[in-house]
Amino acid sequence: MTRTVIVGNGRSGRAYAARLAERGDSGPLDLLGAEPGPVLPRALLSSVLSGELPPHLLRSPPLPPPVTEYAGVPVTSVDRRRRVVVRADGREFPYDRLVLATGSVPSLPSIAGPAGARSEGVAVLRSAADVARIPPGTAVVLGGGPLAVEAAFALRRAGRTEVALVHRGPWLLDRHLPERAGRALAGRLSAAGVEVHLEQRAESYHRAKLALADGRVLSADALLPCTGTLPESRLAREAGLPVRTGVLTDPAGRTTDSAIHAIGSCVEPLRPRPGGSLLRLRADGEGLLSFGSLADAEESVVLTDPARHRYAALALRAGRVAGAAIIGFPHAVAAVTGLHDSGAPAPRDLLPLLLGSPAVLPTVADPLDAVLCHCNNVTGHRVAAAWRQGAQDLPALVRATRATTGCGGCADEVRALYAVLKAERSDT
Amino acid sequence: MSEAALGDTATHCPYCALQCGTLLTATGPEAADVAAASVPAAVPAADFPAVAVRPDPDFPVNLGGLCQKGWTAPELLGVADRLRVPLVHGRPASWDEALDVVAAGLRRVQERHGKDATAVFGSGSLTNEKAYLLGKFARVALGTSQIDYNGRFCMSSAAAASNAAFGIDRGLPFPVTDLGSADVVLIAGGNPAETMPPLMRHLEHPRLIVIDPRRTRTAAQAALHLQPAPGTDLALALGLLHVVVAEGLTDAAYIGQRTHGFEAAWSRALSWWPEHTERVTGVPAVLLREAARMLAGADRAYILTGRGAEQHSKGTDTVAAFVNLALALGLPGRVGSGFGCLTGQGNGQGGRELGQKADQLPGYRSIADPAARAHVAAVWGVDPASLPGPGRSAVELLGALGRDVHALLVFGSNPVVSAPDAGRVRERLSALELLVVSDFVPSETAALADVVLPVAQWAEEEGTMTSLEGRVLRRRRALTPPPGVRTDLEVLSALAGRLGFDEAAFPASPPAVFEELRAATRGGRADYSGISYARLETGEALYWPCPEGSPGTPRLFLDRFAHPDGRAVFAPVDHRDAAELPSDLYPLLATTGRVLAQYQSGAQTRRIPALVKASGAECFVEVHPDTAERAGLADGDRAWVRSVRGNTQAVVRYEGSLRPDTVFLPFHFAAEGSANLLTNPALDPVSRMPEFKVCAVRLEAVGTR
Repeated sequence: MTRTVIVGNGRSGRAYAARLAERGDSGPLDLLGAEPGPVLPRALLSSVLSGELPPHLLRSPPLPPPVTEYAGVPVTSVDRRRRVVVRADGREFPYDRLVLATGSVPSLPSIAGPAGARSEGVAVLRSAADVARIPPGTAVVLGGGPLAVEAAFALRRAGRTEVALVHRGPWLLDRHLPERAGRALAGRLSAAGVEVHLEQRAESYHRAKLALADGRVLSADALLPCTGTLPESRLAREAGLPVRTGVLTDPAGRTTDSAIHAIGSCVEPLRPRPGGSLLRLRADGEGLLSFGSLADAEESVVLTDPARHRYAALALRAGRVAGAAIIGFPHAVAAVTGLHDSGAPAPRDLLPLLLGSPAVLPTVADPLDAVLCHCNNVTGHRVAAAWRQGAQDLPALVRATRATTGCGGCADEVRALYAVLKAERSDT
Repeated sequence: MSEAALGDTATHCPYCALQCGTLLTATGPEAADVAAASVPAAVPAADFPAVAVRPDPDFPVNLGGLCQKGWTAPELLGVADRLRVPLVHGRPASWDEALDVVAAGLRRVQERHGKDATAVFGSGSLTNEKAYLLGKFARVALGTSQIDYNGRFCMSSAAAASNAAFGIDRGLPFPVTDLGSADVVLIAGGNPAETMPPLMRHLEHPRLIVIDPRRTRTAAQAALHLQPAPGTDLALALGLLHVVVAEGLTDAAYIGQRTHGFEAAWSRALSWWPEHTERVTGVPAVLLREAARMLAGADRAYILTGRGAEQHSKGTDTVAAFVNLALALGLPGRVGSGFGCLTGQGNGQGGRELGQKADQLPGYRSIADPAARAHVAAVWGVDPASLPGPGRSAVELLGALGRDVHALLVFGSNPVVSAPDAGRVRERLSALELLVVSDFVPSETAALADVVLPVAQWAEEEGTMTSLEGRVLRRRRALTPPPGVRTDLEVLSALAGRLGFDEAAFPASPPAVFEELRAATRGGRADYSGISYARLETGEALYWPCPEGSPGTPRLFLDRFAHPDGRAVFAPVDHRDAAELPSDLYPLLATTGRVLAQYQSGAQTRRIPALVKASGAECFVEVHPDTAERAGLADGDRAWVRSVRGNTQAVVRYEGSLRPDTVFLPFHFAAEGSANLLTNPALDPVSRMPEFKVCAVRLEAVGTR
């Protein structure tokens, strides 16, 4: 029987364990948590920051047998010769198959100052425990990628009054969005109360003061570097496995040791994908989506509304949406994401798609042809005919046609038609 | 009953679980002229019914309302092809001959293949008395475990989820009239504006949140319509719970004092943040947040589920996820708030608790529970050991026909149209040695039968029905049945006699059956023992559980839930895909449902001209115009809708509000217009309900193959 050990209880480690357990043919499976506490889903950052969500509610559901979970003690080494994993407390876990799912760690920018990026006040966002360590007061987020933007929104939502974001690039999400979309996003962040500093570099950090390259100084009781992550590959490197930044594997996840696999973000990426994969910002109401490329479109629709910080661009190739950059259209992103995921042909008219409004419903030429009372299938013509046959007050019209006697929802319309019929009578 | 004139019969509509109160007046030919003034011209004089109907303004559920089905129900009594004489192999026969053929056939099959080779298929449209006696007939007279009913297709998922959560399953554990004072009502997969229109009278004040892949008439009236892809409503419910918890909107005191299992349930919802839920369901995250906040912000709120949540291979978990949401908000068991299931069939409630379900004995008792078996066996005067164990569920029973089961009695059901994968159902029914159908119209299933038994219908019989709010109602007789027609109870009694049992143990009189039913349900979860015809005659509103001497229970759970410790239980459920997903060959999702003017398999309502005029005579398929055009189809064209199981012919109806990946077909039509030729018989692992609400299809113009 194969004994599997997975190191790392983040998303990829847990998903892998769940898949093996579901397959039902694996032997015992030990899942070793590298983190002391549960991993923090980015979507829940503001809830944890604000205290709406107590950290103990971040625990993932227990995995079914044959998985056994061990958390709280970090793994220190892998002994490949004896095929055991060793924890900080000395406990050893033998394996026939080892899966490294150690994830990534924030890459700290180089900042001057006595302790620089290691100063008190600097907080990384990886686990719920990290969130608890963020000092109260003013906060500055470093970075212009999705995590930085989400963190800035979340800090404001959680009630921080002074929040700033400092980004080196020319606009926010510059690796994902065209300039006008990035500017719209900055507008939305500003509207949410975040001070946005673009094309700026953090020079030094000391005593809750962040000095920028242009000489400005920002108050920063908390400094959150969100400038990217690095694969956590220390275990693999120390075990003598080939590592560049991340663990090197073949496309199936195998390392050079056939008993050891690596999965998730501890693995060296094959090559960065141009245009990136689908990005959907986790921030309430911002409606930000981007995927694919807007270049070389056979057909494209662009909607700009700078005053309301809205922008949407869709690029079509072969009748499919091949690229999208949307911000400020929260109703549109769901449908456009659906087209991305299903590969279904784009609708003939893209505007309703972007505006999130349903296509036009069929209209009836003569309003009297319309069914007034669906419960009893009564048209305006039926009511008018009953009127002509002598049912000339409201109760009589109802008795003769049964209109309004079902759900009662058409009472106003029937009353209105009755008023019209009565007016016509007095006209003649 | 102030409105009821002398000679009026106060009864209830024969169709859905709302059981609208109606007053029937006999109208002889001489009375016709007088009545004509108040009866619209839609009723042709030749078919003038023997009774006139009007809504009972004093019945609190319909508040004087009635939909077109209810208004035209009298026409059902005199439809041209009404069954009036027994048929044996298609030719008229005497009752004695027909019953002899049935009894001999049952005996022959049992001798050859054993008792479990004979089976019974019941219905949620049968009165309580019939449902009860049918269960007893199967377990005692036939000695078979093989009995189930069409309610397995309708309410079994909600029943399973409610039993697990609350310890009891009553569709609405509160009176319908409570809904009117709510601030917000969330309806998940229900379309009452079309399936039970007078219910909408109670929903005029509350703001509605409607979850439905289609912009139904109910959705069109909603403050908020969430339009998920078919088969993703479980993810949507998890997403709503996620927002409620993440934004601190739960009722923490209620969760702590009145429930168990919150953390395990929440840990499944943890990963369903709005943008993740949006990607799976297609519902914008912004609407999801708005819905959760609207619901949590209401002082009084209800969450109701319908068939749309239930009819999935994960229907039990889907309903459980909505129950979890209700529990997190502290709604169930509180006056003015709650969770409920909108039961579908007329007696869907009574039908599921009086012993025609494969795993149940009367009183919502488990057939596997020794104490329950002992109690019921004592009432029936038989040895508990002689009672069979649990049998097959409906779809599994239909699948066993001609294989393990060789004789089938069908009462009040039309599975050739209403069961999933209907083509296979027809094959299985044709493989039987003996098929007996008891009905009042020649349904598609009756057309396959060896013996057809003509029986009385609603206004011709006495009995009780239990409505969606758990209230027991009297169905009263306004007319004598046509000559040659018997009641279902008379059929069961006579058959039991022919099988060598004492007919007195299978009484044909509804009050006598009810008295026995009271004893059988005494002490059960659905306790009817305190309810009597005499009490009902006084106009008392009696809701079960109603033990002897009790005033009944209009509102359940106010003090405690029905589990031994009094707490409700969260279910740790997570999302999973539908059993069948779109493919290159079948790229669209089909979902099935109902239209206002038809009821269930249409066996009754397709025979009423005004209803056919309203619904159309042929099956239709609602399609987004873009999707239709891509298949080379235009509005009004005839199309083949094809799934891996079968093909349905339907007229294309453009519907611009539909998701382009989804088509909709009503399932009321027969022959090649039967939508259930397409549907997937994949079952929910707990409720054994089939997946009517999602299967993969493609569209083709008729004439191409």
